[in-house]
Amino acid sequence: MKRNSSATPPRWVESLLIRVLPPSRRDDIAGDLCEEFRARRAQGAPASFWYTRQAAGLIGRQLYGGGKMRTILLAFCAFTLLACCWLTVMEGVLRHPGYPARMIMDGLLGVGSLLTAIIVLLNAATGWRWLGLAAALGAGAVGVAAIVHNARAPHFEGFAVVIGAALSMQAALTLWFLGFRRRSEHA
Amino acid sequence: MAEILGAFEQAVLLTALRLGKGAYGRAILREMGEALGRDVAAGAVYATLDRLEEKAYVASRLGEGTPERGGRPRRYFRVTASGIRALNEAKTTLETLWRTVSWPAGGRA
Repeated sequence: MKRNSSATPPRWVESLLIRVLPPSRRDDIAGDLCEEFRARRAQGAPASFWYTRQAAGLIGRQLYGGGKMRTILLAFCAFTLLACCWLTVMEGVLRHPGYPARMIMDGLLGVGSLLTAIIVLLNAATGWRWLGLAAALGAGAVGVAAIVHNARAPHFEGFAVVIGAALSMQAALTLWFLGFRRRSEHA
Repeated sequence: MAEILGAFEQAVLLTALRLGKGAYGRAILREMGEALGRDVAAGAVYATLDRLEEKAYVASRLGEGTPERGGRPRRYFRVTASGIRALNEAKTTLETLWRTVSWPAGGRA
């Protein structure tokens, strides 16, 4: 085990921590953990595991600590991402007429959900937020269209209503979160 | 009377008070770990310090960066007069409550 005072914490963990922490606390918190990491390493104590555990705890708090609406939005993003993955796979397996176009649309919606989650998680800069808003408008339009189409169709498809409603809710929350809420200090 | 401080808030404030001018994140984390005899979660300490700062029970300022921190500055915390008052109130309240029951609570342990 290396026992020098210039050892660096696991790079990807540190990088993720710095991205997630609010800008005003990035330097001092990352500095504290780095200092303790080096002290532990110099004493021959397990430092990487300690650092990763503390960073994971801090990242977890940041993810949950951005308010209930943010947590709900992230939950919707996770649900629609999984739903879009499932729909894409099912379209590929069942191969009903016109499936390639639907696979592309499901894939794009999934990418939009993932992108929205990343933008919200990292409290991204304005350019990315516009992209998130565009993805939200697209998801909202598809969600509402799915519900309306299903209501008019001869066969009721419950999953389409659930996913359509989730996409619409996600779009509304994203518009509120990225469009009307001031960019927060806390990621 | 203001809201009573939680046990962890009291622990953080007491540690910062004990450390005095040397109270910065890592020092508080270390000192608390030694006093409580367990590894303390950094996230819990920083969240508590943020909350205490919002309540104006602590004030903070940034210091100089040092090489062992990769040039990053330390954030020093100072317990304010309101913080000390809140600590005293919490102690008085708990002592008053403890006096209303026999020791150990619930009979012989």
